Amino acid sequence: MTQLSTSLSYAPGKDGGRIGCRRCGHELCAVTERWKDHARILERPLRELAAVYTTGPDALLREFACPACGLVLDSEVARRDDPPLVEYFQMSR
Amino acid sequence: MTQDDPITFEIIRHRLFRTIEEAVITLKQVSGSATTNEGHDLMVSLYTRDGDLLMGGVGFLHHLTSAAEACKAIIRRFAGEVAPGDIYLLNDPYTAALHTSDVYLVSPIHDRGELVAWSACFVHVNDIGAINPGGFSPQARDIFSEGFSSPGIRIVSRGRVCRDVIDTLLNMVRSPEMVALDIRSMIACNNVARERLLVLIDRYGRDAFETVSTVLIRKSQQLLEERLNALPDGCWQARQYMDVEGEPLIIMLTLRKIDTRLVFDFEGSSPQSKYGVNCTRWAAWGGLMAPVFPLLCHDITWNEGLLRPIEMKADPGLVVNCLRPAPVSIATTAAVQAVNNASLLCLSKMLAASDRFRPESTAVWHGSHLCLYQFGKNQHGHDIIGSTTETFGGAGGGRYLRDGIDIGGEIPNPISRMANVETNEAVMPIRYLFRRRLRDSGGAGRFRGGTGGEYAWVLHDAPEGRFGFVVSGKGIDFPMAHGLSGGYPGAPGRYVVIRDMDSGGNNASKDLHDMNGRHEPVSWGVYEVGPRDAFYVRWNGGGGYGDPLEREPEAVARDVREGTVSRDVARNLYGVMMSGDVVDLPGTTASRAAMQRARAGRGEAA
Amino acid sequence: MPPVVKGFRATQARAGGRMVIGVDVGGTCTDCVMFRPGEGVHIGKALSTPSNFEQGVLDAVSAAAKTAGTTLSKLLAETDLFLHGSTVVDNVILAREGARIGLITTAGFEDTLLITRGAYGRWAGLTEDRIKHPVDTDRPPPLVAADCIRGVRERVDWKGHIVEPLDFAQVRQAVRDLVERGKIETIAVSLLWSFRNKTHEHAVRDIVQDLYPGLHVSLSCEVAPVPGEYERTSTTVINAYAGEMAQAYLDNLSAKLSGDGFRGSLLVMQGYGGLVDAVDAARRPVTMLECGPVAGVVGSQQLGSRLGHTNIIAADMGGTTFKVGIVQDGQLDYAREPIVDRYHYSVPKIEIASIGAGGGSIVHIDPLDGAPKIGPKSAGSRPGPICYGLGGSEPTLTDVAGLLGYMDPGTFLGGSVPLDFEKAAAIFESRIARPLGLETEKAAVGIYKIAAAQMADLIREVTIERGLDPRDFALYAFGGSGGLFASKFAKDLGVCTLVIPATASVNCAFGLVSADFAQDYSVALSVAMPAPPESINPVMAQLRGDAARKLFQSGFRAEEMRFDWSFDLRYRRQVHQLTTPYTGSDPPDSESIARLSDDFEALYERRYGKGSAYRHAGIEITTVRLRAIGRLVRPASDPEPLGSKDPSFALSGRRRIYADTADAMIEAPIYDYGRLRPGMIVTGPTVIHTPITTIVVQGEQSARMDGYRNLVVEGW
Repeated sequence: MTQLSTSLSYAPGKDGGRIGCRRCGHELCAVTERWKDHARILERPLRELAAVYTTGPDALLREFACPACGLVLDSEVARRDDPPLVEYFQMSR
Repeated sequence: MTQDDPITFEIIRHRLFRTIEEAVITLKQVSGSATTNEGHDLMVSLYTRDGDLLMGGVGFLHHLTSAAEACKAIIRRFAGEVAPGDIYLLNDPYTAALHTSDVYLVSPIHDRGELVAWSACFVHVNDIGAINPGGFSPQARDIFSEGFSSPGIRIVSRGRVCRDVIDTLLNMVRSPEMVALDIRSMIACNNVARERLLVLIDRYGRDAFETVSTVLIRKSQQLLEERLNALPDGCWQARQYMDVEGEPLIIMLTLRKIDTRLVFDFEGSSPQSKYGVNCTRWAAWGGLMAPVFPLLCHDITWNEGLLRPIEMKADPGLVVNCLRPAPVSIATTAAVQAVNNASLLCLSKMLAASDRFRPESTAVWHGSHLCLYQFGKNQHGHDIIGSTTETFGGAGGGRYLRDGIDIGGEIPNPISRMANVETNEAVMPIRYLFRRRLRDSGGAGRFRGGTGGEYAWVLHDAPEGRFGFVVSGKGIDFPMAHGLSGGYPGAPGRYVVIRDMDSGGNNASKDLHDMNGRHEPVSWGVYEVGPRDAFYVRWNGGGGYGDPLEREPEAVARDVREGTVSRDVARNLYGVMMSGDVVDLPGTTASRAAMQRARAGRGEAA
Repeated sequence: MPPVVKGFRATQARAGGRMVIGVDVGGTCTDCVMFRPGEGVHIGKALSTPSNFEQGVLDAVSAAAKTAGTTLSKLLAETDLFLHGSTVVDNVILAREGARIGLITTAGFEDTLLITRGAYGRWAGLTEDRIKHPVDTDRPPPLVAADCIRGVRERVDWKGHIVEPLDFAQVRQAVRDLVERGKIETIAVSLLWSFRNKTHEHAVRDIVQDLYPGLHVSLSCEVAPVPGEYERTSTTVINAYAGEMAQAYLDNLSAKLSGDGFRGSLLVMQGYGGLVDAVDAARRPVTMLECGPVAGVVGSQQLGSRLGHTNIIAADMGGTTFKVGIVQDGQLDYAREPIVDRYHYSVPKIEIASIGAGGGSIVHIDPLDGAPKIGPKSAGSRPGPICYGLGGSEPTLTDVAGLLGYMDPGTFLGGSVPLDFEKAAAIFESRIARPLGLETEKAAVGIYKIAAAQMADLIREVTIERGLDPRDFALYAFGGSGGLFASKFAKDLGVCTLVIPATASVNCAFGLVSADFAQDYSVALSVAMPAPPESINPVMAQLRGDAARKLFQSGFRAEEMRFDWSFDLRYRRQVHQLTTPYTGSDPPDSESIARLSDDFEALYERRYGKGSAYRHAGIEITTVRLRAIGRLVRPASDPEPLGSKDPSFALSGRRRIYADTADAMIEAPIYDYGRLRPGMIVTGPTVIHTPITTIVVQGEQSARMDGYRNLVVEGW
């Protein structure tokens, strides 16, 4: 097994391989798919999270969590209508 | 000498770097301004006779490539007329500079009458005659209000200073004495670089120098390509929000890596703004490359060879490729910094996808500079303009297996530092109430971001009973020091003028909450601090790395004891319960389990 | 047995015919130089004893006593002056063995020490390649634990006015808390602007001493009364860190010496190049940092005045580092941003620049780009170079020198360490030569050239950054490995001459007996030029009075006193000042003051280039400085008469060595230093052996022994 980040694992297999949660092993999807579509998405205004976040109302923390164990696999600062950031991995090399 | 002589190669390579070091020392010593000799807002590099980056020094790294373009612009403009002993000034952002305040001095280096190389340096000059003092102009709506701007002009001709040119420039700026020292320091710096390089060429011969230059560039390209080959192919994105007076501007960056090529694409970024937060194509390119050098190439010589595998796509008219006459005076602390951050995030995601290079990945360090310049009459009766340089204190981003460093600097300038409080109080009519790390400002994460800081000052011995400042802050409504792999962003910055502060607070206030009076948050424009006012500033922390629920509870407890993390944040973001000053392990286990369940959608909301 | 160095004789009768002993404790060796005015200098060497350095001191003195045919007790009984330099304070920092400190700061600024002015503490003291790799850098661990810092309510402003009075109750509580709960062993106090107004810091000390008499306290206004709260705090903390240990060390040394019959004065070397009474040194141990190498530069200054050199590059190559100091126009130069290990400090300190290139530096190939690199890791003396046969397995510069034929396998260290080059050659071949695609010999030559080039680069850096040209300088080379490389980089730099002094092996100790009793005084004084004499005179008079009193109390007569003045000046608006020596009248008159401005500008232009001066900006004085000197007796010079040039008497054999100009190994004569006599000249390529060091003379160069038994190398 190798890792695609500190939170995502990669295992060779069908469809070019599978992306999973590094901590619990839960398989998210094939490496050719968008793994964020298979994660639990949580969105909260940053300023509700801690007093030090004196940010505006539109600044959200969008987290992508493992649906099995709840590990946050990735997160981003976003406005509600902005799409999640995209990433894909070419594991053929 | 052939490339089979690794010995001479190593000697010359070392000497070239030493040449730059000595030139930097000269630059620092001669300049009068704190941004240069305290903040190290400077750069010195060597270029080939064609203006390609030959050896880049430390300092502000986004200038390494822009100064190359400056050399090339001078070569084009003065073709056939470049003489030994000439020095050229260039500060037009639409030609090569990042903004008018960052003035390039570019010197040809001739060996026995023949052009062999160029040296270039910059400092952020004290003032450039723009609509607002200090060079960052929130009130500018076009380049015509951003001060003296030249696409290339000779200021030293065959060793003789062109007094008329310098006098014209000085005539247009608010602090001619300071700017004169800035120019002198750059002239001295280039002189040192030229002399040292000529001694080297004299010693080893021009052929050896040129062979080494060619080999260095080829080697750097080869080494980077090998490294890229060892990294996984893929695509990663980052998105920065830059808030200014209304809708935030988006800097959207997509990094695609295929084999040995990196393509950075800015599609999806906002169109250019009417405010001076835009940057030109050269500035965006410099901003992209700034994290490439230390993250991807720290052990490879920084030169042209590293640029060849990398491509940038940015449509004209975007905030990162603005069209003349759009204003750009704030670029370096706005679009360019957003580009730095986005580039760093994309690179880090790519590095994190590789088992071998994962240790190089890092969350964003200092995401948004305090764009703050003070001006007015100081206690000595002089009119001054200057920065108190806290922005160069920065904040370290969380790293792979290590926390970010509190007030730990920034990636685009590996040698930044801030001035002492006493240095500032000696030349400005102010008295600090406090200056310290800002609790909770480091983005939460398994490895937390380094804290930023906060400070406040009141007037002190101000002869006119006032002191002004220009501010063009970003990273206030939206944080810009994003985290990595589930780490929180660093906390945002903030500027508050406290009007009519209680007199009891004048000396006793040690906290923003103690400062009783009318709190007036500011972010954009020109303001004045009066005798009954105070000025409070906080700057961002670094982004965190990894899920905060995975942080070692003892590490959180240590942060709480040391005052860098509050108990509220310990509990709410890290899930760590404490009893007194010690971790309550069962409580922590339970609270973290509940928070995880809620995230996975199986329990009560967190 | 170390040779007796003839040719020195004391000029002054001050010591009244009694002995003067100088002992320097270095990392590896403790050296002793002693003399009686009127007689020859004797030398003693012993291994340093880090667990209790005092023992090594006695060992070295005993060794010197033996060469003079006397015993330790007899020698000490007739010694008047014991001059001492030691690495003990540097060691405490490097080994992190100092006291547990409680730090008291102005409330609101408790983080000053910990945040090190931002990234400054993160990148300071690091080499180029590490600075370019920021994700892998960290601050060094602070010398004060974060929970042992307390802020107290007080405030002084830039003029020294008290804006907020000191909260005595809060101070008492803070001190009690630090001692009872924090278990601190010493207190450091650093308040904002304390150097302008010492009242509050003095008051804190009074409170500490009232609550805990005998508890060691360091005040920033006494340790480092200079602007810049970070550096001032850091200096005070370093002082506290080493304070008690330095005090104990000097007490023990003093006790041991008097136990063995010493009844004279113990003086200690300071980083600014002068000696002070041990009692004063113990109070301010931060000024002992790097005092050994500084003494070495002082020794060069002294030797230079004898040989007629006022511009000297003093280069010391030991086992781990290559250190350089400068003498310019007969004066020593101060460091701008002194640093020990990776901690900043701010006391007047002679500049010593260094790189990790010593005899034990390990040669390796960079795994990434295949380039050959030297150091900074060192094999030290244990396990040491491969050729020592003490377990070393990585090739070092000493091994490289051996491969080039420069080392004598049989006579190193008097034959006590037989050198074996076979193993060194094999390892060097597989680890260095083969990866470079070169033959062993060629690779060794290449490494030799790289090392010499890096040393030349360091020297260039310290000269060029002051606007100086190495070609105007004499190069003095010291240290165990200096002689191996000096003739190569001397040529590279184009210095006017290279001198390997007779005392090269005990360079720092020799510096001790060349130094004077010296105390630095300074007062911040802000006045625009041209300053009216009456604005300066009272300040100078006050300093002079204090200084003269102190010298008188220390036993110096008026004719033995000297007062060297200098002023810190700068262009208005500039941050940095230049310390400019003052050569005018005392008390000052208008003409002298005008000349001071001119001297400042000349110094400025020399450093920053013609046309860089900007008188239009206006010049201002920021500080008045006085160095009050009490002249001590020196070993003085009566050169021996020069004899024949023929060196045959010193010829000890022939051997194949690498010759630079021929770029090949050729058979050449080898000489024994001990049999050289003043007047003899050897021509290169050749090698001269002493029991401890080796001097290489390259082709077309020649080395002659002068009347003082120095080797003077020339010919490039």
